Amino acid sequence: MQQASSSEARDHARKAVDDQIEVHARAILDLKTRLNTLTPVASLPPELLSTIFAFVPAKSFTEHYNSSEIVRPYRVNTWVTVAHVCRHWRAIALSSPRFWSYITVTSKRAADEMLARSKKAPLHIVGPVSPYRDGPRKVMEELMSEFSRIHTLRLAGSSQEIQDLFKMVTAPASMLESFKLSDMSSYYDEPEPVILALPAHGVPRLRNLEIDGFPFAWDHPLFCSTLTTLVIHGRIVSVPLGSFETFLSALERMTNLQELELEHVIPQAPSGPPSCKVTLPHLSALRIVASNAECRALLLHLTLPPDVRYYISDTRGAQEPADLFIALQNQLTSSSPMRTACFDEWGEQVSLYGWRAALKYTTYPNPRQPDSGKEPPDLQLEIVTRGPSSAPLRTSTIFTAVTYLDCRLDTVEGPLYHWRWMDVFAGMPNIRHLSVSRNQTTEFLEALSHTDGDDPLTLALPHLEVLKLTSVRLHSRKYSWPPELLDAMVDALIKRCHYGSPVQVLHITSCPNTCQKDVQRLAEIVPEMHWDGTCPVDEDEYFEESIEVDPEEEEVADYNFDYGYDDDDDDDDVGAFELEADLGDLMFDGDLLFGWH
Amino acid sequence: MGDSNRLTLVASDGGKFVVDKEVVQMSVLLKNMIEDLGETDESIPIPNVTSPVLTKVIEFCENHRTDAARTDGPNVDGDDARMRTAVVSDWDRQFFDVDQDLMFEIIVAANYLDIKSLVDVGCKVVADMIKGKSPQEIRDLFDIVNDFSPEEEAALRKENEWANDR
Repeated sequence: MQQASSSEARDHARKAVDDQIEVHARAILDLKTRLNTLTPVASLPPELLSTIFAFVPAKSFTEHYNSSEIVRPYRVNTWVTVAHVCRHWRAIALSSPRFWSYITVTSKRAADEMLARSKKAPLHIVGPVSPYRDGPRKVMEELMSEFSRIHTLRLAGSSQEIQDLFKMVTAPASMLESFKLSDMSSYYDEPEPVILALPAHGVPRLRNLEIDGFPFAWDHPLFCSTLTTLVIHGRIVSVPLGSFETFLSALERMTNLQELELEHVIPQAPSGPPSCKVTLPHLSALRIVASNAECRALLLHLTLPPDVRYYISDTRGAQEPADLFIALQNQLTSSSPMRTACFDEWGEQVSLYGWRAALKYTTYPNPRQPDSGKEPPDLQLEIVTRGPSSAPLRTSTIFTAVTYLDCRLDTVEGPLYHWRWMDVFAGMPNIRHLSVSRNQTTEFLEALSHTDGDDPLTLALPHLEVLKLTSVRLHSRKYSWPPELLDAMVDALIKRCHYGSPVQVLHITSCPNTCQKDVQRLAEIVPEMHWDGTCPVDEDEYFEESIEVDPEEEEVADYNFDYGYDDDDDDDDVGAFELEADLGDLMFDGDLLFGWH
Repeated sequence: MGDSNRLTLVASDGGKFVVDKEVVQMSVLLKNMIEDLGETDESIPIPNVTSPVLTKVIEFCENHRTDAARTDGPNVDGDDARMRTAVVSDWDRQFFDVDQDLMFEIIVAANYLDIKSLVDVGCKVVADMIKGKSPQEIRDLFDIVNDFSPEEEAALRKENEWANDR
């Protein structure tokens, strides 16, 4: 009896202590909650925190989803962690319907949970409609019952499955603004046209439409006047979507388009001059991937605002791109001319970039990284041919006003064996700053000082002031390699001096086999010279031979002659002499500057 | 009579800022005040915003003064459009490369002054900081302590188990 009461008393005592521990534990948690109110982030009112939370899944959602990710999404719902940070954040998250409105279809319980938590917020749904995955398809069917509040819908599946899904829709598409359909069938399967029955009253708020891989008839009501963005990617072996006239009629309906992207979907145009033109007054970006003739046909039938950004990829360039150049330059006549240009090559593809702004090379974007935050090009013309010719550039007016040209073309190796610098320079007479990367032949230097006969007024690039050579091999070490460029370059620069248009500034950067002696020869001709001092390859025999020569003895003797391009030869020679004396001290430490300052 | 295109804002600590009306009108609050006041030389007090914060807000507005014209077009309004245009420029990111105190004060000030673009950019920058992080990483980032009890945490994990479904 006594034992029992002592045990009860002990239990009592223990419980009392446990209760106290719990009270203290709660108190500690409450103190932690109070501590959280003293953080900088706690200064945000709940509505702002709620907005931030809504941006977290929105950002994941707006990131690029390709169709395989829609089928098997792997980066989903990680944003839920926001609700696990602290009590305050959890409470805000649970009371923010928009936070739960980005649904990537995985399971029924996930969809049900999010449908409940999103209350009446507009829904953003990404999901597969596959005959092989029953679960997600059933979830999609359930979600379609909420059609009236779907704002964004991205579906990947087969034509039949998507059509069946839409047959279940009874609610109006009153919120639908963004719609993407991706064909999930094998790339090699013949795609089937989608005959999509839209809900009653159509899609009154649809702004963004993307169709990837499906043939869609151009007279389908989805191509409606409210669209601001239309992206259609067909297949290279495309199924006809209708006649060119039907295609033009569809464009004519979509007068609010701001962005238009067409890849392998332009129907064949009738021959002859355009019978009508479609005006797209709000268009800011046009992206076409098609054959030369299809690109040209579309351009000839459009009237566009002057500040449109063009991306044109001629994917089947069996023909000369001259006609395409003409169609494009007709579009560009009413716009500000291109002031900056960059020519680049990538495998069999040559890319011509243009900017209406006069850019400085230091702010130059990387065209291969369009998201690098730099100024995107106003014109990007991709030409894929077997040996593209530069001839169209000679007569084209597209680049006539360019003052800065950056050429990243290897005209020795690669696909550019028909490339002629004389054509390029003839079509770009206003260049002041020319930057050339990669190896060149002597044709480049002949073009640089080309004249018709002895007429100085016909000198190529009469306004050229700055020439920048990067990775251009000035010397060769083997007979099988391209010829020596240095002598030809000296000749070209001297000729420009004689004809009254000397190059004022010359940059030599990472040019193989360049040595002090070469730089000194060039410094005699060009008033301001920059050399990075590097000699990246072939620095064995040739370089050793060259540094055996004492520049102070050699240079003055060999190059102390009058090039006749100014009257201050004496001063120049003194400058050159001082330069030689300084070279030993400045030995290749960064950018060497030569000239008269 | 001063320059009719400029006006003076007075921060809560007395700091005075002379700014273009065009710039100030990115704030819906100030735009309405200017309209109500009409042509006047009077300074406008901004009682909830300190000088360092107001300096940053003005810097943002001056940099984005032409944005409104650029984004004009059909149907660009609405919360969902704001969510969709989730791009934050390099300049904006640099602008918010400040200590957390100042960052949140700027967002709160932008909310008070009703400058939607600044609120959005600020919220997107913070959302970027959160995205992809675990709860503990988020706590560490914002100096938050875990105030859930172990039982609450277990319940929370169970409650959101669906989020791990693939």
